Amino acid sequence: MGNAGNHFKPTGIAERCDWRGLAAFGLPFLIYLLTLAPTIYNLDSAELTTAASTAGLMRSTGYPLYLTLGYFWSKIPLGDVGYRMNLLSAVFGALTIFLGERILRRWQLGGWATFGALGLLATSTFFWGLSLVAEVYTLHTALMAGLILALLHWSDSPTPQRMAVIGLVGGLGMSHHASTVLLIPGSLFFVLSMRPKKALSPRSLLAFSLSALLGLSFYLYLPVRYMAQPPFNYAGIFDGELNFHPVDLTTLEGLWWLISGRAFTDAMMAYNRLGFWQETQRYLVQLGRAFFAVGIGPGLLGIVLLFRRKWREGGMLALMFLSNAGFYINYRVMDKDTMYLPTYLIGALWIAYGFQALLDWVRQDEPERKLGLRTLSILMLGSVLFALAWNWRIVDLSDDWTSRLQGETILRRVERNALVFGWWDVVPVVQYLQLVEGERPDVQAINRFLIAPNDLVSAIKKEVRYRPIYVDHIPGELAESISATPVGPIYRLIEPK
Amino acid sequence: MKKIGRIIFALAIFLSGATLVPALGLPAQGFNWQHYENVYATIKLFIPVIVR
Repeated sequence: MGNAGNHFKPTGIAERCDWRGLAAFGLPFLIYLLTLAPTIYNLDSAELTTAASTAGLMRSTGYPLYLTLGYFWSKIPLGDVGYRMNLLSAVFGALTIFLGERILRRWQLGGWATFGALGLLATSTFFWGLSLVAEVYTLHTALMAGLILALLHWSDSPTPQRMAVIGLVGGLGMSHHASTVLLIPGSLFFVLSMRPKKALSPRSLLAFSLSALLGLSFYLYLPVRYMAQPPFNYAGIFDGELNFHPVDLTTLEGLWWLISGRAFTDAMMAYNRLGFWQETQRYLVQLGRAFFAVGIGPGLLGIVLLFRRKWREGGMLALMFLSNAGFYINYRVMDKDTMYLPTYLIGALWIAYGFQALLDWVRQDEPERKLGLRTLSILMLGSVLFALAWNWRIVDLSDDWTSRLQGETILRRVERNALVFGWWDVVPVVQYLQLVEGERPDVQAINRFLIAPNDLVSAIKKEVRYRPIYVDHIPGELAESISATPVGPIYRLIEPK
Repeated sequence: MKKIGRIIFALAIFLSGATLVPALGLPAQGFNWQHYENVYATIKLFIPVIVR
């Protein structure tokens, strides 16, 4: 395809410097840095930050690669630990854009098409937003872009060494996020349609297996840390006596329970036909919005042209897209809007291909060539700048201290030896302040996710006689028998005399 | 005329999605924890686990 926008001819040091790659990483990173959450953020962010920085354990699916990287990253002397872990998401977000640029460069797409498509991805609300707080998703998209790049690299020269790179990146991907399994159908389609004999040769299979095992070795984190009994452990349950029972991660059964996400099987494939259709519509609206609607036409064009010109790449991306979109559309969880980033990445690759086709289309004619190229280039630039300006005000977290303030308010106001029950929007931040910053070790905070509703009720009934108990929401079963008084964002339970 | 038509066609594809903006709407909010605040209160979320 074309090379629009590649007229600049640098010399000397400038010639050796990869300006395009530098910009692909540097520009989004700068934007993320300026809008980054300044301290600990709430929900999963607080859980991830606390688990990573204390070498603790997460809920399913374990995220051992993230926890290992996060543990070391959390030691860098920059801001508080919450800020450092937010910064890690920004690094992986920018890395995703950088690797996306490398993929598009392999397809010989020009600067404008690349800038337009990846600019829209980098500034889309959820991709941008999830690059600003500690989360697992940008590392996942970076590994996914790395896997696609490794597959394309292998297709140039299908050697066992290059197959080993695929195995390593795939293994790392699985060590991070179990949904990497959704990339397998597309990857298999690509290698088996490209060079099946080379892919299935004993040397290639051996190289793949050994390097995949190396990538998967991060799973050792889970049993190793389980044996150390870390203070932060979300892989287990509390009983009605408030004894914690960790899942035994030294057994295959326990390990498989955690990493397979079996705990969430009720939420998988959860919709009937009508529900699935409604969720699909919601997703398509979200996808359209993510690329400010201008991506829809070029994206569809890109899908068609990629299939016609590079059907193996087209098939691979389509299978990866459909697997991810299909799984998450049918996944009944409250925050699934945040889980579609892999499909955004593929959407951006399609859009870039469509953008380039449009640029090539208008370039064919003189003298209108300049007019057409300029008009389209300005529109691509304008779309990214508009997305940047529009989304900045709705994603900017640079002045958001709300999570820390809420956690500090709770710890300041609860009485000595208090017991605090709450969901993700209350407890993980409290635990972060306790375990990472050393505040109020006398307080016990328990996420309600880790205790069955009936055990919670019996624990409250028993403990309320002996120590102060606080909850975020009063369990319905106790509404008649226990009164409550608000204390900051939570309630102090009072046993009637 | 044919050449101008090519440009118009390319622009039409580029902007075709924008005609859906009134139906789709522009992004109204980013990722924000308050959006998910209190949602847990309405559900019975508990994950049974394997323990020894």
